[in-house]
Amino acid sequence: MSAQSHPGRSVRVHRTGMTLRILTAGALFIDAGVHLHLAPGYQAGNPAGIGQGNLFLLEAAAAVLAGLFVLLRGSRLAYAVAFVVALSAFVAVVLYRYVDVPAFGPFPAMYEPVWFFEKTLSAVAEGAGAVLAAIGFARAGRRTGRTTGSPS
Amino acid sequence: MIAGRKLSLLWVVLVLFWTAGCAGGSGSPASTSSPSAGSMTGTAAVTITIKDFAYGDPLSVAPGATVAVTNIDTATHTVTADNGAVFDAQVKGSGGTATFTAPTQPGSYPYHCTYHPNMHGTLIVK
Repeated sequence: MSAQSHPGRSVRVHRTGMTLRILTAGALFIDAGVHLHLAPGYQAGNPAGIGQGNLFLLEAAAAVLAGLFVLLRGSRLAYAVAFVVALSAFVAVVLYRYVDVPAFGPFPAMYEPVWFFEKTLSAVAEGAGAVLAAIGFARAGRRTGRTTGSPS
Repeated sequence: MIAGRKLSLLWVVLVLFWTAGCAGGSGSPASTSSPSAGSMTGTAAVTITIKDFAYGDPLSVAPGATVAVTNIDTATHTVTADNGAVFDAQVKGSGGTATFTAPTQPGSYPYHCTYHPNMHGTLIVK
């Protein structure tokens, strides 16, 4: 059963793939936007080590690059990068919300036991981005397997 | 059909994430309990204690009173009046202290932290 014999299905699969790429990238861009917005204040308030605001800028840069990668390529590697970026950010925000992790290495103490709109928005975007990237990774893997496994 | 079902599932997951996140954290964490809490008269100093990114209960002070601020958090905070430059104090973290003079005009003065947009408090001058 090739895609050529089911053109309707092929179009639907393509649309789903594009939707997934846009949603994943969108989640990462929201995450990046929030971090960019909060970075100056957090840098001034917590400049120890590398500075919390600078960490926010690094996270924003990673999220933008991963989002663009997924948007433009939609490959398995792109989804893997997006997954790592989104999940690491999600774990970090939840960890520092609930656990008073002391400063270590270049990382300052960033314990902040509250939720507020921007923080919640970025956490939701990161969590959603990780889930979407995982789904995209699985789909891209199946597609690759089908392509390489199909008789020529 | 399968792709359509997966897309629907995707939306459900997104909505669930959104709902869970909003339920857990929307709104300001700063306390807005009874304005009478922490009331003090005269010109003696009263103290705003910043802990866990919150200012605590609103304080009532006399016009022109000295207000002390203690910051228990690790991060530096500010006590900055929302309305112009009525008062603005920066307090370093890990037990840092600062003072400022309360306005001489009676009224309610909301304030915030310049660095952390979720932090809001109120100083009542009467």
